[in-house]
Amino acid sequence: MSLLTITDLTVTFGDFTALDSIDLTIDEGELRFLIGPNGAGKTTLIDTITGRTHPTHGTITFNGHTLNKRSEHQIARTGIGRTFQTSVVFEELTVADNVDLAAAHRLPPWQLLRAPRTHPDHVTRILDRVGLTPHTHAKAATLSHGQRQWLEIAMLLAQKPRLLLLDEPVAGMSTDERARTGELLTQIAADHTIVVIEHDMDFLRRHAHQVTVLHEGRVLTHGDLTTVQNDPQVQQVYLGRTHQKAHT
Amino acid sequence: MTTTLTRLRGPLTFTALIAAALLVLPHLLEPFRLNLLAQYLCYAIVALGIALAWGRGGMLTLGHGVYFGLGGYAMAIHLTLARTAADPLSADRLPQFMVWSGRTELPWFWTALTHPAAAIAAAVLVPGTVATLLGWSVFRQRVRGAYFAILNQALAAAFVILLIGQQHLTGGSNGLTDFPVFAGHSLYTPTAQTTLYTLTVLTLAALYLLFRHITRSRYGKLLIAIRDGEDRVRYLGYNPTWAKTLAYALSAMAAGIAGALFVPILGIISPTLVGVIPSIMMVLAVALGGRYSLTGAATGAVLVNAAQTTFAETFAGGWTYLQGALFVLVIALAPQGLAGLTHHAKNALTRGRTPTPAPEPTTAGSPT
Repeated sequence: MSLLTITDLTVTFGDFTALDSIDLTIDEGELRFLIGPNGAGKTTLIDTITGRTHPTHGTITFNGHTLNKRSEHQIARTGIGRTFQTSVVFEELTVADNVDLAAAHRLPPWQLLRAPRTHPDHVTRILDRVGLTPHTHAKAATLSHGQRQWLEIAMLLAQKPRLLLLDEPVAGMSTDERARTGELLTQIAADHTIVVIEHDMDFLRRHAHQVTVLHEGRVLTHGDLTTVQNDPQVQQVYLGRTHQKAHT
Repeated sequence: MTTTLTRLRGPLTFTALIAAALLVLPHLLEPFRLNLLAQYLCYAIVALGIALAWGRGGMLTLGHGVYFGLGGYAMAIHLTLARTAADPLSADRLPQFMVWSGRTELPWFWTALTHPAAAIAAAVLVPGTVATLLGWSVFRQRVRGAYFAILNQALAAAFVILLIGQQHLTGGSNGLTDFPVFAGHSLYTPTAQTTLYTLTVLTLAALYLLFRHITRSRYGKLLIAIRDGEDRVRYLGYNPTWAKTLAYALSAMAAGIAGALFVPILGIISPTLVGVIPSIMMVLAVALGGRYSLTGAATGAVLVNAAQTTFAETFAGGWTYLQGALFVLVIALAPQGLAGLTHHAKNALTRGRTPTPAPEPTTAGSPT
């Protein structure tokens, strides 16, 4: 059953067409990778789904809701969570408070005015899951880059979204951190629907099953990783180009 | 080893301070000084609100004089009516300035404030409503930072122009003064002044506890999150508009309450007390004391106003320069204000675990 359906989605900024008649369907339980060269429109697509950018035309339907005109927080409340390329966590709050805040959006307003002495169980469990338990009471500002990304994933899990959008979760990470993130991703994918934007080919080879390639705002092709890698069009616009770049 | 003691230290210090402020200071200080202290404590109440809106919510409000003024004028209008009601010479309860400007009956918003309870309610609700309307419409449009500060500043300027322009309704640049009675009690006795002082201390204490609870709640954390990453908060499913509006309205209501207390204490309200300069002074005091700490902000307000009086008494012109220099120093060397300095000093002394900043409440400063 399809969870997210994007039909004929076009986004223009002035004369520039960032997304050009995109059609895309994400099924419940899927782990989908979104790749494409710089400027292909990957982040714009996620921005449009989450309400940061509004579609010029076309429709986005999620779980029976049309998202087009809704604002960011309303879309988040329908069950879509996202992370950002440069991780944004609340530095002045503790790690646990970051996660708690992400979980608390479902609470009625007067509950927000209470001051809990201890953190709820689900916060502790999520911190354990992403391996941040030792940092529970540390300010988020003290975390390393990799730990911040995990904290963002923890916040995402606490939000309990039905669809997770991850924008370059392993960018700037060390090899160990990548491996750890990969494990985490596989774990989460078992019971979540996830869309991942990722550039890292090694990471793709390890974890990607279904891949959608974007190029200049259009869906170039879609399929499993081997098919996509062997597609001459893809090699030309994407893999070929990075290949050349690697050699210059 | 001393967890119970450390947990009790805050409440104990707080209670001791309140006790000292209520039981000791009225006997120690001559009535004139006690009256001054009561004024400073009114500014401390405003400071608590600014610390909530600015320190926590990131809303730099350069127009809190307006809310202070709305509360103050609500009370001043009521007190003027209380005077004219007791005055056999005043026809139709009209104050003199209205008679001189040719008015023959009281404007509706004067009559509405005839009852003391109405005046108190208005002092809280009018600032609250104005701030809610302004905040909601502005935050919804995602106006923030310097633009919001300038908007507030403009509001303060417009408020003063309105007060002066509508002389027949507000007393113009002279403002309103001479308040002999409130709810049948004379305000010109030493007991009345002590009572007002006590009332101010209790209000400050109550608002401190309320705001302290708010800053420690999830909502308080949400405010910090909004301050540091408003856009990120939206993707967590929160609408920052209502959260910011609430904090802004609460801080406006605190300023309104402070204004209402201030008027019978000082005995006058006029546009010079509520305009652009006083608004900036209120923020300045919070910056000096430490905007991230409620105690710091309140202490800052007391100290700055006390220093102002002291310096104005000894060398009048020097204060402005000293104040400017102090402000520059604090911004350059201690952006977290006095509260930040004491917090660092405490950490340096203990070198142990460093929990979240919770400096002990040192609300009452010595007014020389």
